[in-house]
Amino acid sequence: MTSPALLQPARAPTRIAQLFRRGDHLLWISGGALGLAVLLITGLLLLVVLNGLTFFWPFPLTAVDRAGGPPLLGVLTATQPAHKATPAQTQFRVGNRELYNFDFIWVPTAQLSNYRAPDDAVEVERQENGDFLGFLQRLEVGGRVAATGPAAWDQLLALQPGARDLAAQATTLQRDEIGALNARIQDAKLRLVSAQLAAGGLGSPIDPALAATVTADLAALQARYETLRARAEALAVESVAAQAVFTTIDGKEKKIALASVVRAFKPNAMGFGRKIGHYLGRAAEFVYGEPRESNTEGGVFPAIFGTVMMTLIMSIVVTPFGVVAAFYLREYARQGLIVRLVRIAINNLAGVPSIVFGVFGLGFFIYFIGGGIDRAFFPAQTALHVPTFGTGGILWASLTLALLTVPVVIVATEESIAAVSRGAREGSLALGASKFQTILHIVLPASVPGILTGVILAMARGAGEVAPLMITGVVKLAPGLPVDGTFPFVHLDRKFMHLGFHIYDVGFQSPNIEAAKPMVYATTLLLIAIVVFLNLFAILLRDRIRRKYHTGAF
Amino acid sequence: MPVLPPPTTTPPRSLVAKAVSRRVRLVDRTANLVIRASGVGIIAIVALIFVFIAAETLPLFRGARQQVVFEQPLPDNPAVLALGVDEYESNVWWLDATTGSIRFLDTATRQPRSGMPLPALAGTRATAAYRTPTRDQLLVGTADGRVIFAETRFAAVYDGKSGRTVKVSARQIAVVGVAPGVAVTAVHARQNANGDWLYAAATADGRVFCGRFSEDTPADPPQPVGGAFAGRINGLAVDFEGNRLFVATDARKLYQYYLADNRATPFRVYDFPANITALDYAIGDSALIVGLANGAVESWSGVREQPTDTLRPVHRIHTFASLPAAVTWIQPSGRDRGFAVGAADGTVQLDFTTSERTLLTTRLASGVRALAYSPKLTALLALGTDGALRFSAVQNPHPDVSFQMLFTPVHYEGYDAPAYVWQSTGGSDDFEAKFSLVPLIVGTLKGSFYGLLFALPVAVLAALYTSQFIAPRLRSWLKPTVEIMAALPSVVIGFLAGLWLAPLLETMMPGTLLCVLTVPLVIAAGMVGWMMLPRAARHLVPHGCELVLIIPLVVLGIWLGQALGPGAESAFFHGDYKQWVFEKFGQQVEQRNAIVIGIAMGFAVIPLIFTISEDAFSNVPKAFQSASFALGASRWQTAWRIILPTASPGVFSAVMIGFGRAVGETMIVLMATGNTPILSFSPFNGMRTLAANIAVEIPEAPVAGTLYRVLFLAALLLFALTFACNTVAEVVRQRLRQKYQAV
Repeated sequence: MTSPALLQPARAPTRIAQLFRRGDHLLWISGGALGLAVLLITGLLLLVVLNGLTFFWPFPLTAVDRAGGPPLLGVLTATQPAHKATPAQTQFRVGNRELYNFDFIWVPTAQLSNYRAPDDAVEVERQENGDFLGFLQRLEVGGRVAATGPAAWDQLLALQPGARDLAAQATTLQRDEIGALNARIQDAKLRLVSAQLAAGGLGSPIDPALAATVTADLAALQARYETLRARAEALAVESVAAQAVFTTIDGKEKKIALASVVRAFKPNAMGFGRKIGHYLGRAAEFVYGEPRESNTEGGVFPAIFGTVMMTLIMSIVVTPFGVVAAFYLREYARQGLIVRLVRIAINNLAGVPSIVFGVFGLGFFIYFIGGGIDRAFFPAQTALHVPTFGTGGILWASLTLALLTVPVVIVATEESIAAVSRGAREGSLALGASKFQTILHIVLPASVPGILTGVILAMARGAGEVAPLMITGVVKLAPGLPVDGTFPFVHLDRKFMHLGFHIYDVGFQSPNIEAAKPMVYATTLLLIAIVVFLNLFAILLRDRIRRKYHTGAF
Repeated sequence: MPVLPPPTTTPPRSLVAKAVSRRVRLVDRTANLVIRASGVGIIAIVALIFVFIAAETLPLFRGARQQVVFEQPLPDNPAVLALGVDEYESNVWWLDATTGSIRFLDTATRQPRSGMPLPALAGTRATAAYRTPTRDQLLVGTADGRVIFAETRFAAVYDGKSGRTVKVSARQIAVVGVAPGVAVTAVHARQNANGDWLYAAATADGRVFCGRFSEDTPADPPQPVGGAFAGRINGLAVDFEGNRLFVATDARKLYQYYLADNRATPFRVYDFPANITALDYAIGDSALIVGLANGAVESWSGVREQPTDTLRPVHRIHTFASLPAAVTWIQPSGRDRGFAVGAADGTVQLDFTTSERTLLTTRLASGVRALAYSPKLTALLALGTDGALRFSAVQNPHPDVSFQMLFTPVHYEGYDAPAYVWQSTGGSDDFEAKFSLVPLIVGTLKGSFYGLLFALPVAVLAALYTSQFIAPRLRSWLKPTVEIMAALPSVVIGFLAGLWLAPLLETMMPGTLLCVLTVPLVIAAGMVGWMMLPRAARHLVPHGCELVLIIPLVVLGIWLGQALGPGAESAFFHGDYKQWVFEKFGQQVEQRNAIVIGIAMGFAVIPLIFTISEDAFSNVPKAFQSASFALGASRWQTAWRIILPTASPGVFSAVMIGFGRAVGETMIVLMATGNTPILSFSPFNGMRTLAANIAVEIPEAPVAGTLYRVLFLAALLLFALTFACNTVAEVVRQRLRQKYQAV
């Protein structure tokens, strides 16, 4: 027997060695893999949520003196520690794009001194050129000074809504009435072309009476167009009468028409409650507003609308087809090798890259079917090379996505049909119901939750898919929503905007990516929220069904 | 049971039942029909996707088709020196040496129209002529040693009643003396973007002259090109800069000049196995097409023999199908790199330089005297030595793609060696399209490889851990979390990878690579530390919930890696890993590189692999585990040596499905790489994948054009690849399920 004194020092290493021999370190490392996955997903969500939610917050404006340059006024956005040869740096969002040519500036931290937060620093959200940061000097109406000093600020707040309203009227006139007029002018021209085509081809002589009516129509429309345009111009001129004069911190003077002031505020003077109000106001504008500055500012309402409408059309198409296909496979087709192969093929279809569906949609729906529709029903437009359905549009995008998501619905429906108990089915048949009656009254109601799960999953997949849309009808900026007040109200041939594409476009195609990034985070948050909400809903629904079938014994 | 009174007022039951059952049966039968039809229809649509995409690519590999519109002798059996047709294909014209005039033939009525004599040909005879392929410009050499610049014009007049009529005219622009009294035997000309003519002329006494002519300025006489030529001069070719000149002689020699550099002596002289009987530049004036007396047709282009060469000797880069007799005429197309060749036995062939394809072969009754393409390439004229003109309509939509071009290295013009290049569009009209799918396929595989490199260990280990070592309650929380991860739109992942991760990783690369070491080490150390704690402390964390300890350890490991990163960088990479990579491998480190893609793609693929392999692990019968434990194996040993091998087919199928997803991923690659189609497996640069390439290029591709169809081919490849991967995965998974059922 060895003495305890000798055993003692050897014991600890043996225990550790034993742990390693048992592979516990590997066990923990495999746990680390799971931990990493969990960290990745939570980290990503956190990153998006933090960046997306802070986008609307009115951060204080910092004024700071800079050695070897004019002073700066801006929002402190980032700091970077010294890295190799580069010293520590601080980033400011200084705005005033048209004066400085950049929105953001990196300055060596060592050059900065005398940080302060002036109460009268104003941040102006403008219709164009991004934010302006500076100090209000005076207010001019029609070229004459109306107010200076603190009174100017009150005047600005009082006059701004009226000026905005005038500008909005001008825009509405421009877009709605003149837009409608343009459509009618186009219609009249198409009437001419149609008549020419009917008479034998483009440029053929047509009935002079018809030509005269159309020409008269065109002249009348043109005259109306001129009046409307004059009115819009007058409105626009009237709206810019009131101007606010600002100075930047380095002393440059800048006049801003109140009509182009979306929002003016003094973040340093705002209380917490006012900041909350400001935050909610901007968040609401983001959801309900129109985009500005080639999508990098303002709202994303058209994109939300486009995403929702496309997803809805897609689900309207995919649900009946997916369900019928599933019923065919489960209830009608003779079970055998072929059905098994078809089932594998449908399963695999879910794994085919979405861009392939996009290519199919482009070639088949747009050029083959859409081009065919155009040739058959819109000969005048085709002759003028103005495609109607023969170009990307919300209908073709939705159909492409329906094709992409049909396997999801088929698989989910099949699963839920299979889960309907044999007893219920046989009971129905035994009572004399026909096969279709059994399906309609017994199997279908029982599988509705399962079908719903499939459809919701399909919607979630469809809402987040971008690649096939890029080639079947999504655009950066659509002139009108697919639903509006002009006949026939729903325009399935129109191009549309989409949240996912908005992210790609603003984040990667816009000229000023750095300035647009916060906006992209907000859009991303919105898209993730929609997709995650749909998925969670589907997961919960599925769990509920599973539990129901677990307990509900027949 | 209460006895019901017999019904008195209702009709007999059997009748009701019959009526009801008839209706029911009708509905049932209709439903049967409708559901069957729609079911089969939907399955047919699924099949249609594949069939449609495949059908769109088929025309790529079809040859050209020709249909002879008419064949008739030209009036007066002329001595034709140049032949042409206008862009409306309404009139054929030719230069007749006998009468010294340009003559026209209406293709609709097939009647000759009045000709236009060239005034300068009065009193002499045309001895050589050349028509530029891009515009209808004509250079004529005369027997008395002059050259005539001329052009034909076709003006379409539209009239509401009779449609289009084309007015024809010809104009003599200028006359320039070359060698007074000596016949001009060969001419060649080009017009540059300013409209200036660059031309070359050879004379009967074996001299060559080269000059520039502009309509606005007085004409200078052409300057002689030095050197004595062996043999009689057979052909000339001068480029649109008036710099590169080729002279072919019947001593089987080709002389190459760089006129700006040395006008007196040829830059190189090449020997050929047979006489060069025809030569001209393909569009772009970079590749020279030569036809030999033995029927061979080749394309020669400048190649740098030394990297520092400024003047390039020409090398043979393409060889085309040989003709059975001496080549008599080479007619380049004015639009693409195609050309028509004619031989002395009447064979006419349509070839294309880049793809080396012969798209059409036909025969005339007699030898080929002249050929001409219409400007839109839809009509081909062939004139036989017997004076018969054949006018045929040609359909040649995709001459520029061949199987070899898509998948093997091709020697492009201006390149020093054959290469795999994807470059579908260029700035100018005479751009040579390069459609090699290889860089895209390599890019696709590279992206998937780095994605799986990251995703595979993480996902499989995480799945193993989830299925074997974790408390069921925690598991019911984790699985939906991972499912949410799977549902994240790839555009979101791509955005974060491109705009957040890529700049971050650029500065933190050494630290991040170090994490591969530090994270496992920290976890192992943490495990030892935890196990050393007294039992009571360890009971604070319930069995199966060690994850709450592990996650902080992962964070610690990542932090440690990043903290050590700068130190490691100065120790191993001399303080700058980018510089080090550049010096060591000669490669720039791009910000959006394959490592970023690996992490982002991994993010997209991890949930897929995780879910499927977790399923496979969980489905391994419990008896296996129990038996292993009973024999004294530890938990890890059981998981690693029993569960993993048993479920390995499931893991394999998970990897296949993950691979399929990575191959087809579009948005992540589009946003997080530079999208340059390069052929490289390096982790430090980007790539362009098949899917991203389709997304980038198809919106700009003209419908039914070559690029459009090549992109459909790329889509077909993707479809086939992913479908194959998924099918293999599915079959493996079904096998596995059956096996377990048997256990």
